[in-house]
Amino acid sequence: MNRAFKDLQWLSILTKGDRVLIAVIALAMGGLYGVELGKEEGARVVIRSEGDTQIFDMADYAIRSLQGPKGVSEVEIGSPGIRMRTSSCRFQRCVHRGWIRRQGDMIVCIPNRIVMTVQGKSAAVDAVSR
Amino acid sequence: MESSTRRLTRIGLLAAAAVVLFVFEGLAPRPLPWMKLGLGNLPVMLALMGYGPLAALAVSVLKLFIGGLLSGSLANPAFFIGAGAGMCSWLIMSAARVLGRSIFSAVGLGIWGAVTHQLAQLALAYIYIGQWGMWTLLPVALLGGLISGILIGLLAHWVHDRSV
Repeated sequence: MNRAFKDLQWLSILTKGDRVLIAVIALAMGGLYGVELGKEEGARVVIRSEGDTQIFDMADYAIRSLQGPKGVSEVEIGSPGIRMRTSSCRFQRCVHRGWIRRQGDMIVCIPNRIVMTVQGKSAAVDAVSR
Repeated sequence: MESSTRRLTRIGLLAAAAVVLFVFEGLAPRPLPWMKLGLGNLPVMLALMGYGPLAALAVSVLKLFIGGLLSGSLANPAFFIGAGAGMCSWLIMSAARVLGRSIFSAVGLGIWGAVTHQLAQLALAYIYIGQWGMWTLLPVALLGGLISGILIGLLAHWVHDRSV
């Protein structure tokens, strides 16, 4: 018991390697948080579903129905951002993703072939594929 | 030097302890399914520190299969994700132990193991689910790995110190 108590000053058992490892992981973590918080809010959203690409302004409220191979998916654009409201895919991962709003955020529904990407004002659509 | 019988018995006991910890930890309530302290990794680390990488591999594999069988999770996707992460974790911990014997203490080993487990879990879950946005969990995974790694590492340090 006494020994365990002494060891509670556990910093003494950390080697130099341990400390470097902890520092590196902490830095990586801080960096990742910083990047996530530093992302600016998006201005518009690009929705790619089978065969077409649509662009919506995030300031305008809208609900859109998209037809995919598994059925209809409903996209909602509102004040918290954009989300998949309902989807007729099996696992509902896209719906559970919730609202996204920052530049570069994405919601992907693989079964129903839909990709939604948040973009800033200036970014152009990098490609339109059919 | 310990006799091989003694060694085998010890490793068997560690495997048994790992199974018990693994199953009991699985029963404990937790906010998110992948948020675990990783108590099952404690005997794996003790095996690694006392008997080397192969003993640790044996303990880890037995833990996963017997534990999976007992908790009924054997062969479901979560099991494969956890098992894959467990193997990655074993690999990295063994490398850290063998190559960096004087560099890392038990705490360093624990951190390597826990962080690797978290990252591998995320990567495997990504392959299974294919949802790019889950990488936003990366900082949380690192933080969780760091905390649980330090705790399990300290436990391993104490237990190892006393069992020699």
